[in-house]
Amino acid sequence: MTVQIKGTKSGLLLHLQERPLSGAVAELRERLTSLPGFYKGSRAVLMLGSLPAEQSEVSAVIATLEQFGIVADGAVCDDAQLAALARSAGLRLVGASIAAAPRIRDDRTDVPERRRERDGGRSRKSARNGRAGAAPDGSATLYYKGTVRSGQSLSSVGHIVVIGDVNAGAELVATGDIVVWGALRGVAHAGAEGDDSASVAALRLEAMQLRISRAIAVAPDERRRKKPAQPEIARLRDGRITTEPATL
Amino acid sequence: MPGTVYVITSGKGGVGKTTTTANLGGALAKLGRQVALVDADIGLRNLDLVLGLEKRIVYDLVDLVEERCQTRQALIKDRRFDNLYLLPASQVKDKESVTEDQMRIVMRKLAADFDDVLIDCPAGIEHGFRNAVAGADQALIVTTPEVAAIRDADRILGMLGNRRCRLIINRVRVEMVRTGDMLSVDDVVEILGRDVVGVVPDDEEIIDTTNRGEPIVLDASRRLARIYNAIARRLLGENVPLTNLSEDGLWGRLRRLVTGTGQ
Repeated sequence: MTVQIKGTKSGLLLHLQERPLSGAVAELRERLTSLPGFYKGSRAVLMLGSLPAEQSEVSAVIATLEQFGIVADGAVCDDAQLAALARSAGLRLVGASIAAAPRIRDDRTDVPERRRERDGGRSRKSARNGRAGAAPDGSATLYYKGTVRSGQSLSSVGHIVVIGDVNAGAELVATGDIVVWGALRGVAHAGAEGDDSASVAALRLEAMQLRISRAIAVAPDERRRKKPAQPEIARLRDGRITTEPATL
Repeated sequence: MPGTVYVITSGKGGVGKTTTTANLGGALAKLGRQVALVDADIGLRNLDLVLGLEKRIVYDLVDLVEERCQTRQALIKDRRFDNLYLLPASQVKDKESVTEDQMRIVMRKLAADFDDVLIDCPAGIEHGFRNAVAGADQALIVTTPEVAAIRDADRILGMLGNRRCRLIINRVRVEMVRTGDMLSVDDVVEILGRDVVGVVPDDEEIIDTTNRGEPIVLDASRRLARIYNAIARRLLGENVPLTNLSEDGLWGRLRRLVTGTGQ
């Protein structure tokens, strides 16, 4: 896969490190065609990496995105020449850390903040029920089918559902819940914006590290392979992450 | 029809990519295939040493890419085999001296003349890796039953996209697997989720033959020669069952007789 599309709080991050970019354009078009309107109205930052590219190729990426209602408004470049090229294509240059920062603030992205305030007075249970039917306002569930491998990461403003394994070295970050229909061996962070009611569930919960809201739990040192393979769910109880067999 | 270009890669260093490339290439050549081996580890070339061809290098991959020589000038024939050639890496240049497009062009040329092209990939996931992978149709991932090697293999699999990828599990120690001190083939497959095309036992013989520049497949009586031969035949689509290492060889049988372990 040459193009990685990641959803973050501030918009989409498009990883376009590989060359030629024309290949990425074709792939982008194919993937967006399969979900027309899905990203409509999003803003995107292009992660262009460091390899040289043609002006026409960058323009083609921007035009393709525009076709599907996505506004490309920023670029992260690790190379001065590439940066100059991105700027002349009308892109604003962004630092990598800012583009990827989960807590970036702008007027469209304070939804979880508002939700927390709104839920402030209610019990935890009703806060959960309030979210049960639909995804949190302005957010979407990221549904991913396949193995998430070491070095890959999925992030979502909303929930993440993975049908497949999440291997050690991979990372999931969601502002909502995380469900893995498979083995979760990597790092998972649910409720990443401070939602204490978030949970992480997996058919085989073997995560090296679990984070829920601001709490962190590290896997016990016991030989995990000996544990019976049964679905488990991790929640926050009294500020600590606890796991229990998952039941419906 | 053009030949198949395989990249032999691992992510982690020191798991046996170069040795695997040399011996698998030799095994394929012994099966009557026309084989080209490409050392993509520019700046840290080793494949020529393992094949004992170091002295005969005149032109290298960078010369070929920069069109300072013809393809057949850069290819060194290994005279011990009928049809085994090496395209050596440059030792004085670095990995940035070649681009992915240039690699694709060279690999396409080689695939037109050879049945099998095996690219020995450098460790790591940077420029050198991307170059080595660029022109490859398929990948053979070499890993050892160690968590660090498997982690890196997993990372590599994630970067290889839609190419067909199969595993070669190297340096398996049957005794340790049996006692539970080493991950088994099944454990590795469970994590990486790809087909295994070969399981190679840890064998001291390979160290000696590698140092002397004589691929172990030259001596058909060796256990590892038979194993590389089986991998080569699997690559050609033959249905060769994986050798059950614990039953392999006289020593295994003797040990079981004496200790009473095993089936």
